[in-house]
Amino acid sequence: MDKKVQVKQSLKEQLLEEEKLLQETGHLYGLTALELKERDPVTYEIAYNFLMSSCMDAMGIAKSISTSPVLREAGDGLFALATPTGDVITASHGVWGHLLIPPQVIKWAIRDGVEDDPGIQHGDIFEENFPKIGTMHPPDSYNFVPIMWEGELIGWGIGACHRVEVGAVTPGAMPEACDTYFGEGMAFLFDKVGRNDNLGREYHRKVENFCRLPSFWLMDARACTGGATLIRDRVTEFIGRYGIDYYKKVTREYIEDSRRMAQSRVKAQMVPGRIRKRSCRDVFMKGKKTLFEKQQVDWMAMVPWEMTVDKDANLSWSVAGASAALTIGVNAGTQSFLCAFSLVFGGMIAYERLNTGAFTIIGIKDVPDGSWANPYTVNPWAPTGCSWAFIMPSVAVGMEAVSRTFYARGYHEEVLAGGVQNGFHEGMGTGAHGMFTTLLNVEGVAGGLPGSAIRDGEDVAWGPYNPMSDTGNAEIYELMTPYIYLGRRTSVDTGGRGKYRGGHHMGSIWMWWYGDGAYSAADVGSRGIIPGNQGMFGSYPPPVTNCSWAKGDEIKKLVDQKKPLIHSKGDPLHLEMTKLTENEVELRVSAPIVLPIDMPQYSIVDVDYSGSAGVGDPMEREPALVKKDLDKGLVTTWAASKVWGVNVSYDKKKREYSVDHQGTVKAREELLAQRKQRGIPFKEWWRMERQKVMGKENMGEPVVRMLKESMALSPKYDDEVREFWQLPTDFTF
Amino acid sequence: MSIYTKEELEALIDGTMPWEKVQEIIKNAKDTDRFERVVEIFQGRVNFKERILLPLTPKLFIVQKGKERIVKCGCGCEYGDYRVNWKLYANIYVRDTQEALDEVYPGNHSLDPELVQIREFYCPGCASQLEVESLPRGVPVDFEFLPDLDAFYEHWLGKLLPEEFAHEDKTGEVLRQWAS
Repeated sequence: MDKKVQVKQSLKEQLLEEEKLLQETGHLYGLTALELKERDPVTYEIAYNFLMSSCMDAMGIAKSISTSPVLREAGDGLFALATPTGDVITASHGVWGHLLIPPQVIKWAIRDGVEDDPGIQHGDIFEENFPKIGTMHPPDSYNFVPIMWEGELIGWGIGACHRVEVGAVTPGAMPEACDTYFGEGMAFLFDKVGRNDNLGREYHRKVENFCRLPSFWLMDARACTGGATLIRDRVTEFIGRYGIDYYKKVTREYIEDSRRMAQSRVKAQMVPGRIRKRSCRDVFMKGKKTLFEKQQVDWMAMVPWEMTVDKDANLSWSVAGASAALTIGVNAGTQSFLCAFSLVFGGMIAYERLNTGAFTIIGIKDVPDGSWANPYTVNPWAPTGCSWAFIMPSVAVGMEAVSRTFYARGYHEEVLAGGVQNGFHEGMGTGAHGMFTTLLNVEGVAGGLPGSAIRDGEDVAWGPYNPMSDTGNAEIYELMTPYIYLGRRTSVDTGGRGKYRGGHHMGSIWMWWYGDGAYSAADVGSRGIIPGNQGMFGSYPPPVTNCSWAKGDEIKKLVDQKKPLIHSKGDPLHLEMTKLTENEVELRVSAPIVLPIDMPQYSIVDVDYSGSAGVGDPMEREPALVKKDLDKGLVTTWAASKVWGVNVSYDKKKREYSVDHQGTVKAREELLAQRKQRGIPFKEWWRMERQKVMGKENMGEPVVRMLKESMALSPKYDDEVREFWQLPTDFTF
Repeated sequence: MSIYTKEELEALIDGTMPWEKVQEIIKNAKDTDRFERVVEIFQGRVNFKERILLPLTPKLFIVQKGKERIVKCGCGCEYGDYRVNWKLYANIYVRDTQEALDEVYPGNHSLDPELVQIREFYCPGCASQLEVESLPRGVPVDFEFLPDLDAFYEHWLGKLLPEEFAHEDKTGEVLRQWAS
């Protein structure tokens, strides 16, 4: 006989009981058997689909309520049904990063005594968007609607979406400028923001006065609450059909079932052992506008990913080696890594049922105190306004690391060589309707699909965030931003270069049109200085991204004279922007740009989004694929020749390339000969390199500082670096 | 369960299968004998006779050689104990000068050699480019995947390997010898 959760307990008691049952039995809620599934699997599935479709309907309705292109166009939201203690039972399509947040938030609120003060009643609406409790970053706001049955809390309807303006020290959604979280905008700590299904007047007063675009926030709150309320009402309908006892038991079985499925999936698709991948990334701030002098630092940061898969298919994740927390809002808390897990593993282990049960097989260990991954232990007010800055690179290397086990197991079709890493860009000024506007343009969520073990990544088609990624319509953005589009197209030579290349990303050219304004760039793992350590089995990592802008009267003159403007970035060797004006072009400016830069009317920004990683030795790429890319204008003849060793000629009449097969064979023989000539035994290199490392020869100050921090914060990583280079015990960087 | 023919799996591995068919495979339940069948295909393609225990990359395999388990390239080149990072036995070329970096990342994509190295690992036998790393000087090379082979075979495949090996990273042992 299974032990059962006593539902008449207080929420705190329920929480403790659930934790105890898991510890004692190894099964969520002590469910050693799935009785309802075994007894009547058909009803079990039909009932699940009823609840899941309720969440899907909620998402659909919310998208039609929201006025924000972030939810309407790009689908950055998620709707879910949870147990009284916050475990998600089922969820809609949308941004999977939101999936693992509600359990953190609700469990926090229960421990904080929400049941007693302010209490939980039918018709209440709660809201939370505070990263320290359990949100990725402030714009991700969650609305919670309690589901009551005969006076007892039996679950939560949840609606989440990314808001476009948060009322931070800087306009927009992704505030990174502060050295603490105090300037990162409105904070809701599971506040009761509504009663009787109405968002309260207090809530309206707060939003209307502490947010630059209250109408957007409030409509998103209505969208989230409306969706969550729909879920609540569908649960009532469900209980009418199946009964309350069935509801309580089957919803817990779905979660335990998901845990079991996750273990089964891991055993079916992976290989036990240690998978490890480290990536470093730049956050360069010197010379940029910052709030404080102490933020004038060029940071290099270590983003480690190490996961152990044991014989029982449990996963243990470590971030040993993470470098120190930064004094701008790019840090992440442990809760952020839950988002990373849902992005990396959601498609594999939560495939049958998108709920939180699957993720209970992942344990977290080795998160160094004081690192960007655990900043609150040394700075209780650590800024995390854009914690995607490190989570996205982490997701990228995590996907690659996990894919290596898929490959080893023979499931080549499941391999993905990491993901995109971008700046995301915000424009400020006067919008099409003559009102102030500021908007994070999320067109970059539809990035280049990573290359796989069997094919190229598609261009502008995918994001790790959302299985239904969509760039959104440029025309809709034009209605709500201060700029118009001069162009939007795939960026040349931006995919990882391998046998199978990564998907290219895209670039947009914006012109501030309705008046003077400003521009900033949020950091979603941006790569402005060094490429991510991505690319499997011999592929080069995708290149860095660079934005540029031109501002001033010169462009106005071009407009007045009806002279050509620009409509694309060009290629890395021939930037279109340089043709625009000789005097006021700033090139190679990378995210983050934490304080808005003034942009007079007619200013132009060339926005660059990165491509994804590739797979395999580039010299093995099928020449016909290179020709196809050349014909589409996706790659240059330089890359065709120097990277892939493919010789081509161009037929101006036919306007297409043709492969010189003999020349290609020769070119590849030459590239191979170069490798043989320049490659030296690792041992020889290691001996020379060890001396250079010990002498810190040609090591930039940001690199030295990063190694010093990573080793100081993590004894495990300190041991690894010392062992690898065989450093003397008294050596320090 | 075998639900795909050998020809279909070969087409999948070679990237010649029509995308529509690949999508079907992605959507279907996984064929549970895929590992054995893919290993069989690789075994017929490599330039050596030793039994493949695990494919690591398209080029590198862990094989049973006598009582040892070593990493071996499809061309026949050997890399030593699978618990030692195979990169220690590869050839390497590191782009750590502006000129060398510009050959791969030119123009607006150019990189600063004080901040990053592009490390290319080649097979000493066939000169295939096996992996590329983008890391700053001083950061140890990645040891991407250290499989627990005995746990995999015994607990997941239900088979026993001839001899049990301790699941441990032995890279440090080699480096200590090199430094002495």
